[in-house]
Amino acid sequence: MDPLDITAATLVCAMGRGLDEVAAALRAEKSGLRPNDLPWLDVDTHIGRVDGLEDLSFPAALSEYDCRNNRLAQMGLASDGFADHVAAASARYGAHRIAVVLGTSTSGIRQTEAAYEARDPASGALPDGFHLKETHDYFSLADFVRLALKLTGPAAVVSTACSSSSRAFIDAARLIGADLCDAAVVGGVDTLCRLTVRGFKALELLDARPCRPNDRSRAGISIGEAAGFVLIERPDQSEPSNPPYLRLLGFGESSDGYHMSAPNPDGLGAQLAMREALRRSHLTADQIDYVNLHGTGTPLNDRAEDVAVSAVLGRDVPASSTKGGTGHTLGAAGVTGVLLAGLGIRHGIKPKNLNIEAVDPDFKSHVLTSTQIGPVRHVLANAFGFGGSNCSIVLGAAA
Amino acid sequence: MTEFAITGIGVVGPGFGSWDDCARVLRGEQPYEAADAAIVAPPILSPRERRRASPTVRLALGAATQAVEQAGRQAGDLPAVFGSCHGEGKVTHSLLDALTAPEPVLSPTQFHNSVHNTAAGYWAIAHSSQSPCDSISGGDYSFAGALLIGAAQVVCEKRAVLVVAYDAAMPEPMNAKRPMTGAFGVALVLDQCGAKGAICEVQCVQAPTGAQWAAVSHSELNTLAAENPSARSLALLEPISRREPRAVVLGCAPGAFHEWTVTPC
Repeated sequence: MDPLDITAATLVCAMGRGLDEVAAALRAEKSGLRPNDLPWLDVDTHIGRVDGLEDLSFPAALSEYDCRNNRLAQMGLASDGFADHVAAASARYGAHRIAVVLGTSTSGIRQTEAAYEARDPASGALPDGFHLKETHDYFSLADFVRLALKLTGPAAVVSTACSSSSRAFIDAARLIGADLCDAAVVGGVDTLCRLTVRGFKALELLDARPCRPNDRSRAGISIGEAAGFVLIERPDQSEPSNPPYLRLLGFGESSDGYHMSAPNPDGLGAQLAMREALRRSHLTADQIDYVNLHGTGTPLNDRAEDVAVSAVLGRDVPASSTKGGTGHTLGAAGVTGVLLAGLGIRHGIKPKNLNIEAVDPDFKSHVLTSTQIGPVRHVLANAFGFGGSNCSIVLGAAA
Repeated sequence: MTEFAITGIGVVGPGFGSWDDCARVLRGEQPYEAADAAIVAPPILSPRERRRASPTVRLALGAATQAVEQAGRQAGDLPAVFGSCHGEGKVTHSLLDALTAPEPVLSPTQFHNSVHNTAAGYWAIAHSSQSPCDSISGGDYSFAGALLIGAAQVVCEKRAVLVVAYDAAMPEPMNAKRPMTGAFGVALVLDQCGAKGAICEVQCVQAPTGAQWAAVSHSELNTLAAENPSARSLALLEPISRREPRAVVLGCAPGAFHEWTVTPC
């Protein structure tokens, strides 16, 4: 495919607010996971919580959209000068020529959880002042971001569970390819809520300790929250004062067609996605310098991904999961992994697999147990979701 | 120019169980008799999945099966884009309700069946398909949103794509806060212009303005379009049913419109 420029980017997650903080934490090998300290989350687990959401000043004109998820979106838009970069692009292309394509798995459902607790005892009605459409709707995220950024181009929320925000890159790239827009705000936001934490607990996929992806004693996930955004444009369209940050070189996507929540044990769908991403990027396996693994910490996911990665990329490509630092940010996991891999290119770092004690002895791929410093040109990031939804994204250096 | 052909159509909605039924009503050949949508579990699902499939999954897969059959395609060969405002509203309600218990215990099956892409996942599983299945929400604009994403894929990848939109009213108390009516599923197989067996070709360009939803001539169906996001597809299906060349303006987000020009083949 023709590469696309990433001309602005931001990430807010448990490892930091903005790319500089996250990069510093990555270099320091510092996890953002902590014992659950959310008063309304009654589960013994570790979480990748973003501080400051409760006290954030939310735009008064958009108060109907006020919920934890849109607060985190707002924090993301305000980080790394992201909203300013979009405003400059909007002035150049026109607000109607910039699409918004964002992933989320549960949007503002935390608001609905609280509203269900406050149902009228007699009628069962949800409380006044609860704005379901503006908070609970999946589309609430894209709707809010469009309003906050004053964009009027095409918009969609992608919700393919934990691959949502990787798939958003693919859909947005095609909107640009079909000339349905000139640029796109791409990414995803997911926030902590009781539904997902309790749901993963019910599936026995939640670790009480901090998650240990790819470790031989791994016992499930820790859930985190994140907002990640990028602005993508056709190559060489950005202003000289704002040179591209990274390049989107390729993507791959597939279905497992196997089971709603368990991966195909041979990782066949994941292999298809990675092979397609390499083909579209015109790269061979040995040109990939680093792989950001989906690596959730569940026994089945990590094993299937190891089979797939070693089959497609061999045993030597350095790979790690960063979910030990961020937690599994679900619908935002795709963009989180893509941007952490992108930080590897920008800062010349191949981050170690956080929280690892001993790599699963059955694994064939090269899981990094220490951080490597050195030039990184091309990276691949995986994201897999319930429903057997697989995406791989390949990024390259901007120049 | 974003252009594509439509080679297969499926509809499941209140008062009709197929595209042929729906087209006869849209042409005025048959009076509209509103009735609950006949949502039957498609035989493509295994008995276990049929038991587990929610009404929304059945709705989506029913429409998709019709469209793929008409197009004469193998389902597993087609990438798919599913679109729905709320996806699995009934399952989500059940989980939200369970969470209010003092010591909540969620059903693990319900939890993984609550994701927006449950219908997409069941579709891929039913056909052992490794083709990518997307799942889009555009709120009230979910049909046009999924159509736009699907059309872009046809243009960029030069391949046929299945687009499915489905929406059903959520249970109370949620429906009172965001009212929707009925259950409506629509599926279109999009292909490249010039494709064999095309029903019509469609060109899409950005439009400066438009109505909140495009009007349907039939008054009861127009009401349905106002009250169910996927039924907004009826405005596009009307000229197709009548084999009339016509341009229809659909919103894919608040204030974002596209003109879809239908040319019958």
